[in-house]
Amino acid sequence: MRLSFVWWNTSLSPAGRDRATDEQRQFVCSMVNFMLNKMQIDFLALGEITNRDVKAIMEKCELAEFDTEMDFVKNGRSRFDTCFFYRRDKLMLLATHPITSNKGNRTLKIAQRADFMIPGYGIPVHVFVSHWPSLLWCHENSADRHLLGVRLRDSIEDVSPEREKLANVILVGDYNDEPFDASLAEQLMATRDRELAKRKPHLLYNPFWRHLGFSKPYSPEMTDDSIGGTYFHKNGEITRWRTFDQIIFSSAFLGQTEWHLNEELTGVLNFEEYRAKIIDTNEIFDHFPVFGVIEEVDNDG
Amino acid sequence: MANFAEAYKLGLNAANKAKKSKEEINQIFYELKKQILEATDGKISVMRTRLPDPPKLGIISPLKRRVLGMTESSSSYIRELHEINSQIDEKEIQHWAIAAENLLVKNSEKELARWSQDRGGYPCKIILDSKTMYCEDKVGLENALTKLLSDPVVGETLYRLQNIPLPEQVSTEATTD
Repeated sequence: MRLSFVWWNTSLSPAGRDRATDEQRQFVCSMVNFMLNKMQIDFLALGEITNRDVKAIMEKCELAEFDTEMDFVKNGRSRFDTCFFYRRDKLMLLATHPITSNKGNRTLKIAQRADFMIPGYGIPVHVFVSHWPSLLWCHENSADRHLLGVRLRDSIEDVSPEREKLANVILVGDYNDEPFDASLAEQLMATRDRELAKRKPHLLYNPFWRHLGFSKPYSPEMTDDSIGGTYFHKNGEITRWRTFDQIIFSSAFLGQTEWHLNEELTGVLNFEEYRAKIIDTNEIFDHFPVFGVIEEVDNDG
Repeated sequence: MANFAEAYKLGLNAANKAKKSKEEINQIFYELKKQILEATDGKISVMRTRLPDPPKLGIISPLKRRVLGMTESSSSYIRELHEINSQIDEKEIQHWAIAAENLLVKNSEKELARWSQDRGGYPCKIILDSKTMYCEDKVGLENALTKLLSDPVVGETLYRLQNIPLPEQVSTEATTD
């Protein structure tokens, strides 16, 4: 059995602010429908989304096999802007937990934790959905960026029964930080080193280190349809590409159980039509969806 | 050679900082208690206390609530949980909580949220229903406690506590009849 996870920052309603046209909302609905029903994705988390957007998706998409979970309740001056859809015959939702950090008058939204069980296997999987503040609201050297990583790490340890060994944890989100930034690489302990993560089960493995640059090597004949990250910053001066959207796995999926990460099926979803919208300066869209897969493998072979 | 003297000084500084943080946290709870007592004519007290953990079978209650069309595999998962739980020593385990009590009624203590605190004072953690709130400093803790008190379920708990019929009143009414 295989379980597929997608994170997509839809760009529809940043910070809960409704800004999308009906046409843009309709486009998002068609993407969601495609991912859930054609690609057969089992878990889809969406960011920068409001009640109104979810309502549109529920009206326009074929969701008979899916359940939805959202919590847009105000937290301090802002609110969570994420929701998720999951295939109910493959994932059984036990509970959800919003996690925040109150520092001074700021409320940092760390993650929304969803506790699932895989029916038929009795295996718990904890998914943490995060949309961390943008560099505009929390600059790159702010101590708060470290705090986001520290508290996400604390929250993961809270669900892990053993101190030095993490539970079955999958992190999805737009961290507004790249895999090499201290919040993720140091505080969260999401490493690029797969072998080390296998040996030190308190580490997480971040497969998005391999998606920091253009997916295809340069050649004179190439048509420029490859992508150099997950986020396209139209006015970037040194680079327009960032890898802010990531799916990170606890080392439990690197051989400690029969459930393994399928890294070949983990990466950035580059749809041609959507890529054109992202490059278009008149469009609101700027994030690619990212996906990750875990699958059951018979260890005895 | 390791610099033990320097480490000792660092430890003293850390202890001093932790002492100050803990005093600050105590002061916030003192103020909370004072204000709630004033607002309830001396009836309701809010404090940090240790309470017994709920029975272990509580682990599966969210599952029970959600899974109506339960599959055979999930049923066996639950059976397994029951078996594991029944093997656990029934010795009472306690946790820290923020609780409220009606000072006029014995044993009226009710949990409002779970509470934990770092060895150094901050961060503190308040778990209110499914929400986890880390509090990184004084203002953060005050804001989190304000959210706690304005939560509808907490409000209802406090309202019920405040309106528990007093034992004396019950007996007086009985005599009058």
